[in-house]
Amino acid sequence: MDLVAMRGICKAFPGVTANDHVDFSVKPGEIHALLGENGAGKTTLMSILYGFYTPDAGEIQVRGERREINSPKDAMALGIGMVHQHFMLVPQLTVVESVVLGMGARTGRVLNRRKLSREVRELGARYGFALNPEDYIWQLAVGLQQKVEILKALYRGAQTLILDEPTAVLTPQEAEELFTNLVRFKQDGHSIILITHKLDEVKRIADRTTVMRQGAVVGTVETARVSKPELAEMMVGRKVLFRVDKPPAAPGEVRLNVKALTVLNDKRLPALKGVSFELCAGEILGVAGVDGNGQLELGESLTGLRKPVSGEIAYKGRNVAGRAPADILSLGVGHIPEDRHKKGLIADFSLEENLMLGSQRSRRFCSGVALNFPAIGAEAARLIDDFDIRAPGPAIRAGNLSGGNQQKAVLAREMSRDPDVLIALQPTRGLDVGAIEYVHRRLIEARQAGKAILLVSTDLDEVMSLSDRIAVMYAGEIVGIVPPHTPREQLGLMMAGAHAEVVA
Amino acid sequence: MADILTVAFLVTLVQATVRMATPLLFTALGEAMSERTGVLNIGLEGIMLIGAFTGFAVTFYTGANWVGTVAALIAGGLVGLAFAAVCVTLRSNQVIVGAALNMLGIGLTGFLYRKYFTASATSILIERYEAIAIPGLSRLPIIGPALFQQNILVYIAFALVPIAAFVLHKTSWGLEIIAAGQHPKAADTVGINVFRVRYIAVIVGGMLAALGGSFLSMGHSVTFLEGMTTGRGFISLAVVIFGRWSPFGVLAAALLFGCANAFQLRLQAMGVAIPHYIVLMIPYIFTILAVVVASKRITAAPAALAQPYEKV
Amino acid sequence: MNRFREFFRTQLAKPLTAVGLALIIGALLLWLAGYDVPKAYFALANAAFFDYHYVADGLLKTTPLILLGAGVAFAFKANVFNIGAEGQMYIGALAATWFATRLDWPGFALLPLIILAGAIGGGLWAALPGYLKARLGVSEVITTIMMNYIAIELTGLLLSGPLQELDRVYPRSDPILAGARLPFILPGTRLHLGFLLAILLAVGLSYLLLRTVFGYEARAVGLSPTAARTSGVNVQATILKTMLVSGGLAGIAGAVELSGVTHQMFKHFSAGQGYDAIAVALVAGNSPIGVIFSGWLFGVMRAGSNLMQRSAGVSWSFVYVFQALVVVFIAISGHLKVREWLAALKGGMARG
Repeated sequence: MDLVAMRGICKAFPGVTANDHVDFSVKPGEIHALLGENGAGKTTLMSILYGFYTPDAGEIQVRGERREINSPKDAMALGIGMVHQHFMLVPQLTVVESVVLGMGARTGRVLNRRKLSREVRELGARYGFALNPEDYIWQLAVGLQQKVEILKALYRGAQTLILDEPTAVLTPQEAEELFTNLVRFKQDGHSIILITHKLDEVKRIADRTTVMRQGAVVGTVETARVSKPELAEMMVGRKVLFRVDKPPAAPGEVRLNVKALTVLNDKRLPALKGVSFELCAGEILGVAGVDGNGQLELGESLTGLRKPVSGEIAYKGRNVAGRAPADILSLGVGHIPEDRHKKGLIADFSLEENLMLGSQRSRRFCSGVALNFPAIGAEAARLIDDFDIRAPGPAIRAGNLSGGNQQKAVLAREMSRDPDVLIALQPTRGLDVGAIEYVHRRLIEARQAGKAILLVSTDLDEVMSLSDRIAVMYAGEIVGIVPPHTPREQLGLMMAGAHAEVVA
Repeated sequence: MADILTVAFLVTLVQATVRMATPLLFTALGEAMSERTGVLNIGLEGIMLIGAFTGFAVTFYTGANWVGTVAALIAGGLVGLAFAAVCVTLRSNQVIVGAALNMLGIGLTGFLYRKYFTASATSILIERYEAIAIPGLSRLPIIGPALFQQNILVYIAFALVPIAAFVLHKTSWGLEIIAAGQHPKAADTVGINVFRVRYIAVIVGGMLAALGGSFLSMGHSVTFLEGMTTGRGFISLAVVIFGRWSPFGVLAAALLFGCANAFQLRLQAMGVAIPHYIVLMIPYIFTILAVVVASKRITAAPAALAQPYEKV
Repeated sequence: MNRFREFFRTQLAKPLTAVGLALIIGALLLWLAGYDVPKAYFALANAAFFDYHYVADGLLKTTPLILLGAGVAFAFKANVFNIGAEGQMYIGALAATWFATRLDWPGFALLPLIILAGAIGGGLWAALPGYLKARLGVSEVITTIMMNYIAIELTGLLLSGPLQELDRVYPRSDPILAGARLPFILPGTRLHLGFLLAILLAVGLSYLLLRTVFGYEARAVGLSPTAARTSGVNVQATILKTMLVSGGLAGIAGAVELSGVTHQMFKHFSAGQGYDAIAVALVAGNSPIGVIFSGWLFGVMRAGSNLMQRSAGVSWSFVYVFQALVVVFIAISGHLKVREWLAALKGGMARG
């Protein structure tokens, strides 16, 4: 009998059908992968199982009985736990507080900290989690935070554990450790649902795989019986090339020279500790690393959003450390921010207004103090055409565009200024395969056109396939700059802090 | 100026500090709790006025202070409920609705006061809350008369501080409050009803702001005047910021602001040769300085402050 | 016709509904308090549309509300919550008083100078909270309110000092000189040229907001300061400039009230119009052109409340209650998803 079975699940959001008559089931003691691209509806389906969304139609059975799951509380009562992709942890609480949060009925209203701490420590020890219950969440590295999330679910007696893209924030070695743990949970009789878009993970660990595409189930298969290319074709709906074709690099002069850059984070702790590197015309320098190791602060200081404490940032020989974003952009720097919703676009501006953002003071778009609307409109039309932005018209609200088209708009805007250096931060995060391929192609084209490109990405595959050199960041330092054909394992060790020389 | 340092001056200064701090303490404690859950209520000035008027009017008609106080609490709770309905359930802009609440407080109390209390030309007075001397402690030199000969509301205000701190830091409710204000979605995923937590905090905040306002008309003075809060609702917002959203921090900040106000009052009473217009500015200038100083530190503001939570 | 319907749906439906609901609840309140509701509302309507002098008085009271409301609306567009219009208006009036009581110039020279003085005074008074917000992230909600209280005490100080009347009896200024008075424009009424100036400035502000680089940047900062900054907009300078413009308009309102209405400066110079401006801006959806109409709505309320007091005995405090209700309804309406509710209801019934 299935532990959990979902039948005919439908869920629509304004303008999107996220789940279209989805059937999905999990057996006791299996690891079941839910495979699909970004936007295929995997997370929506699991949010329904976890009681976060209510389905428009369909039913859920747990151990053969039909159940209404209207809130996470209901889900937890039925032994379903979920580890979200973006952790649901409050940084200001301690580990033990996070674990018992919302369980007042069981812990008692007045907290017995010593007792609860002991419970949490013992539970963690059973799975070999080295967690101090009194540490604050904000003090923990991402890998440890994930363990807190798993503990939260186990403490609530989860039999079915849903993990949403759990390896996105881990080094390859940490991912391996997680998989070992998952197998152990399975042997303990837990069922695991692994939401992922990575084929390697599916092949590595899943007993069965359900593939979703555009809100519908393509099929459920025994993982051992299908090949990776077959899975990929099910996921994308066509054959997928795993390689990016690119001609050999012909690096030119140094366009960006960073020396001993030291930067603080928002908590005023060192986020970059003396980072140095050079970036040349006609090359892509990839920055790999687990999220939260200083990439955010690196991107922000290179684009003027964050003032460095010390060090030098020289674009084409001119030191701009501490200068405003406008000064830096005007030197011929393009910037694709890591968060297109918050930093890249103004959601409530029209597409046209977004396409001129940053150029509003240029001669092209204004005469004196007044904006030149005909010129703005003409340029928007050209960019929409050139970059294949699918939109009903230039007046559409940018927030209403799909993620891929939003990113194309950002790319179009930044490329329209014909920059010499392009700072591309997480340029394909959350996009579907088509949009990812498009962005990759544009980046390679820009490289061929002699632009210097810094690519910061936490997706190791992306960095490996696009870069001409790879800089690996760990804890605010660049532990080494290595060639792109460096083995994955070695890069993984570097992402955990081992220096290049030691590894090699 | 030499008489500034006399014992008598100190006693009256400390006494006045405590009395001036009390309405701020009530209001800011409630607001701190509300903001901890993520709801910013800038309508405190209006709620304080409503509390001041309700307490005064009900006391006048019933002759019993405690009935007036209870009425003020109920009025504040109802306003809090309405604010929560509009800002938590309907997710309206909290700053805008708060501004409207201030207009409502001024308008409604003025409207009702003129309707029911302006028949006679002289101002209408009620019985004030009597001072209660704490046996033993009130005999201590200087702090005895200053701290332990106050009325019941003052003692309640100060007693609320450790209670609030206990709830916030030692109970599971406290964790829910913090989670709702820092990361409401995380709270939701572990089955906490974010809306309920916010409703309760906003209603309690409304009750405490009304209590703070009623202290002005029933403890500090014995009558109602239109606009008698003179910015204390806004100063309470600054007290919360300066007190870094913690009950004991709020206590310290309220005493500091109370002291600035008391100092101003003492200067006026002594007829020091500074134009009284300048003296009257002191609390307001002090408030600006305080928020500037607070801005220099890493913020302790709840991450989801003033952001409506939407459960998709 | 379709364009009108679209305009009605997107621009007018919301404020009209809010005003209608506020009138209904206001009526309920008056009825509960034992007033003659038809009489009170008839007085309002009479003042708004029929009585020549009250209509003119309504326009007179509209004048500062347009200026103040446009300033507040402009700041709102840049996501700056300027509750300090009241104080900025006082300082503008004080600056204007300085020249208006001292320079015996002809009007064509003195009036522009007075208006300019008002703009500079109000702008500089707003610049401090603007600077604190831009540089230190200090909430302008608290600072602008505090600056209001300080401005009023400062007015008292100056009016018992350098700006005091020559007789030195009361804390007030001398009457302003003849050249400093705005000419009347409607025979038999006190409606003055400032009304036309206010409309002109509101139109100009609309141009500034929608058609210029500064306006574009201010709107960008208002919608997403992070994205604006990322793309090179100087957010701090934009906030500061926005406050200068917003405060400048409030200062002009002060100067215009002085030279068109009161002709003298005293401590309680404003009857709280600076606070009314928040409601004016919100009802207009923060559109400078819309402010002309919402300003008129509240101007009429103010003028009508006098008539209402005289004929039905309702105190003018009622106007604040009405304003508060309008603002709350406007705030709610942006988030009511009536259509979605109806759809959900239908869906629910279909399923059930």
